[in-house]
Amino acid sequence: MLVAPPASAADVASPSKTPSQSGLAARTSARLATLAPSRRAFAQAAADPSASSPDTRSFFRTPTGVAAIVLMVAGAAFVAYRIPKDNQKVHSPIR
Amino acid sequence: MKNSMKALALLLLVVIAVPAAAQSLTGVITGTVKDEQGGALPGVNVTLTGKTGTKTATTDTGGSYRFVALDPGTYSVQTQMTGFAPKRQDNIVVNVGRDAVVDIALKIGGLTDTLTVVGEAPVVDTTSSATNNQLSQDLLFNMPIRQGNTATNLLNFAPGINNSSAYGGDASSGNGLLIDGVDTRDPSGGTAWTFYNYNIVEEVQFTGIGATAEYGAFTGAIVNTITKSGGNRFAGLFDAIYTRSSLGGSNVKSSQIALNANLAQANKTKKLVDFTAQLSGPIIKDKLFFFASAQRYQRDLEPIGPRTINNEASDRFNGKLTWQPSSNDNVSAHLQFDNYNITGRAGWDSLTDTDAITNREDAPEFVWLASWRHLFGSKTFTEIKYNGWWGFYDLNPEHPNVPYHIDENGLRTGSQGYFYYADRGRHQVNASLSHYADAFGHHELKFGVELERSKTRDRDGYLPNGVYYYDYGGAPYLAYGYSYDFQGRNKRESAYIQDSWKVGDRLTLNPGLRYDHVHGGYPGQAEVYSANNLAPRFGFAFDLTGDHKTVLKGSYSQYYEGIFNDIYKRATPGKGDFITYDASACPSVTAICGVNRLVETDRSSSTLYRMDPNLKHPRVDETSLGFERAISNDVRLSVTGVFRDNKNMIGSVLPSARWTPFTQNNGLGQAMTLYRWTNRAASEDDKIVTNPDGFQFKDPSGNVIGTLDMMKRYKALMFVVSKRFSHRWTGQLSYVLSKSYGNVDNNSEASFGANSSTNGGGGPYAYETPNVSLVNANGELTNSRRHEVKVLLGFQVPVVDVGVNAYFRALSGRPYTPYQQFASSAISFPASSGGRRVLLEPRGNRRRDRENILDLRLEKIFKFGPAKNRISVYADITNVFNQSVVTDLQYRVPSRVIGLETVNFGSPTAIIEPRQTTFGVRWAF
Repeated sequence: MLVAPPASAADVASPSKTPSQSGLAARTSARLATLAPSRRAFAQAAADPSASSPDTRSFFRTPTGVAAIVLMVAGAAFVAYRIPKDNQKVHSPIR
Repeated sequence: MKNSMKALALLLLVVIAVPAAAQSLTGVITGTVKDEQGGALPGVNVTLTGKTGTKTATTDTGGSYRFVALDPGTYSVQTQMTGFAPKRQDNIVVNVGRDAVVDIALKIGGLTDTLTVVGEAPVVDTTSSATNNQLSQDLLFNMPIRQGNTATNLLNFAPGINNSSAYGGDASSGNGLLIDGVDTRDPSGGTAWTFYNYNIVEEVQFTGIGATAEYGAFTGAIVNTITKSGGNRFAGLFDAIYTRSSLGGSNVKSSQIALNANLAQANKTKKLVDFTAQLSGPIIKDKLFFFASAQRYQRDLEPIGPRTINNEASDRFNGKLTWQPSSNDNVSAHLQFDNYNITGRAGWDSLTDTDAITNREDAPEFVWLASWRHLFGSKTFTEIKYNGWWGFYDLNPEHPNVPYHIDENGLRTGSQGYFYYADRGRHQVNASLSHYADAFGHHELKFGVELERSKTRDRDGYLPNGVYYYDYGGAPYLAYGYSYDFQGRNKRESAYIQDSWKVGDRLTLNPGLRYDHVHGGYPGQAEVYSANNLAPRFGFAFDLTGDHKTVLKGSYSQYYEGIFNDIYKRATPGKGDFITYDASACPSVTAICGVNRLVETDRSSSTLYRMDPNLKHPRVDETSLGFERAISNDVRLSVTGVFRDNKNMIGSVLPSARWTPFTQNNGLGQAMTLYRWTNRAASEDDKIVTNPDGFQFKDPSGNVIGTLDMMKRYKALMFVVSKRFSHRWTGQLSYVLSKSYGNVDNNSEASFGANSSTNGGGGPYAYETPNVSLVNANGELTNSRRHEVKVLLGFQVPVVDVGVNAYFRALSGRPYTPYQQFASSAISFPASSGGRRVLLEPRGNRRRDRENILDLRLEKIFKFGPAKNRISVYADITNVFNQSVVTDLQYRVPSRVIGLETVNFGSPTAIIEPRQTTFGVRWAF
């Protein structure tokens, strides 16, 4: 997990999926949000627990998804490629 | 289906005698819903939303609701009831083993008037009697701490833990190092075995002072690392770090080199490249999730001495699948593969070995976990886990077909000569049943059973034909043959019960009881060692002010150590004879000398140690008293006093040995009383592994000349102020005043009596001779830090949005004691053991340098795109002020040859690593 202090105040704003609020409720909400402790930002997957990607196919068609899958496949392939090279054993007469 | 699953869960729970350093992997959200006048509201619908979907509950007649068995992470809770405005509370962080209390007050209003609150749980837990001196996740994940072994590194940032010695416990071997509840320690000696990727960590839970009964098999602390899982949202992390020698400083002073010329060749990092690619997300929304991670770590060193190559590489994969077949079931499977290798590892002496005298380390391992969690309604759930790991650790000489030669000047030629193979395996099954009950107050009950089976095998010998050569005048003169092949089988069956009993609004009692049956043997004999351990735990927490802001807590606990092969290894077969050959017929080349040219001249065989049938297992008794106060919504102050007293230390003694006192002048010019073994030939085969406490050393007439009073104690007063992240900063300041003292050291593996011989003190033979165990034995232990200040601070600089994260520690230097290695002939003790290393002053009479070290991380985050994309660049700067603190000294009087240098007593032998800057870049979404 990557966790870092918020990059800006926007990072601690309430999620935007809430219905419209009455004036009093909105003011109270804003006040409480100011008083409440800020959550740790940069939480890799926890910014909004209710958020979910629409579906697998659409995510991997986004620029983020394409870049992620390319990097993931490339990274995993390189690690797999390195295993035999990093493990050039001395031939043991016992093993 | 539901009934069959329930039946299966119960069946497994009852039938499988399962193990566990039980280790919770989940947390709880609980609370009460009230109206504006404070009246409880029954029948309110409460919806919990997390990364894997939603759950619902309804408040009971008291307005209470509870969500149990939650994976660690961030959640939101929303309430809905006709006549009241819905209310949603976000950013509720669930930590492992903790209850997040979320009380909600509803206002009269319409269903569309949702009020959203961003908040967090109170900073003080008024129900737990465990001391909360652990690090927040914010601090853990922001500090420059990712180098080396993650588990032990994380441990050392906590107050009261340094050099992997936790609260006076054994360095390394006393700590349980868990990954998702799997104890990954070496079942041979209890030291760290499995390394893992820092980036797979979701949360780290520290447990030590006031631990509940579900935690066992440790005498120091437990670090339980929970790995990441997939959720409904696609998440990725791509991280790379890089450094090289030109980004490092040089901190060894000329005055230090003058005392020890070896320091001029300090080890340096030539190049470090470490990258991680990680992706997680849904396969089927709300049902099936994946997590995948790949890492490659490579570190090339500029080795000390004539070697030219010393490289370390690790290729790691982690994969996890999480399946939620219903809202009450969670099935998870996790597999880690680590391909860890070192090339150019010095075989004998890093200061003098050439590339030919090196070995290759091959140390792969698999770690696995399968778990099933089932909820029986909102008050009861069970967790069943099967987990384990398999791996080996081989050291093969770079040139296995070339024999090893050493000459009369200590010059080594040929190859390293020896091989060492360590095979390890471990299986664990853990099952627990948690139940929340209301009778005479509120109860959180947990029952658990655990089963552990682990195996070890250690082999050592010489290649290519079982001997090495001692050359004299350039030609083989003698040859020696020695090998061993030890096998061990550890077993543990455990059961525990614990309760968190909230007696009223303010008092919580935390009683518990843990039973461990530990035993060990080897193939052919199932049981060489066996012990039954009953460990009571009792704690209380009292809400002093009744507003959940101030708590007084205390505990009394007994923690028994895990089962290790090293406890009984000396009573198992496998040690070969030590054979001396006349090799003068061999040719004067570094080639294999045929067996027909070797003439056996001496053979020394060792007898097995007996095991005391009444041997008691090592444990530590702990008493703690603490006070915690929430200074504000974000700031917590805690003061904790703790006392630990170790019992049942294990060692070997020679019951028939007789000793004659005599006066000897030592290397410091003082006369001291030593003891000569007067009946060695008649008594040296009478050896027993026991609890030496109370053992009497006798003179030839049978008079008692001294009695062992084994002691290892720790007392500490800890002050901690912590602030969680708000107003752009977070931090923790701690001061610990402590003392570890006694006559059983707290360096590695000392819980079962093996005082390190490198500091003087006899090693595993410490209690076989009064010269080591009685003379100057009492004092301050190696890992006793009188004063410890740790400051962790994270600040987000406004405008430029740069994170500055600093870790500063000021530590008293560790104690040490001068020792002298007396001649075997002087005290009639075997030359091959450490039992001739006698302390010349009371233990811990002197102290190394104080350490004042600052590490820093600077990080700039860039946000872009719609998917919460963030890229950050960062720099970790360790030892910012390039301090040249001496971390180790030469303790032997008057001097010792290290490498090719004669190093006098008191001279430095190790300096803290110089300033090093490591750059990193990471992309996360």
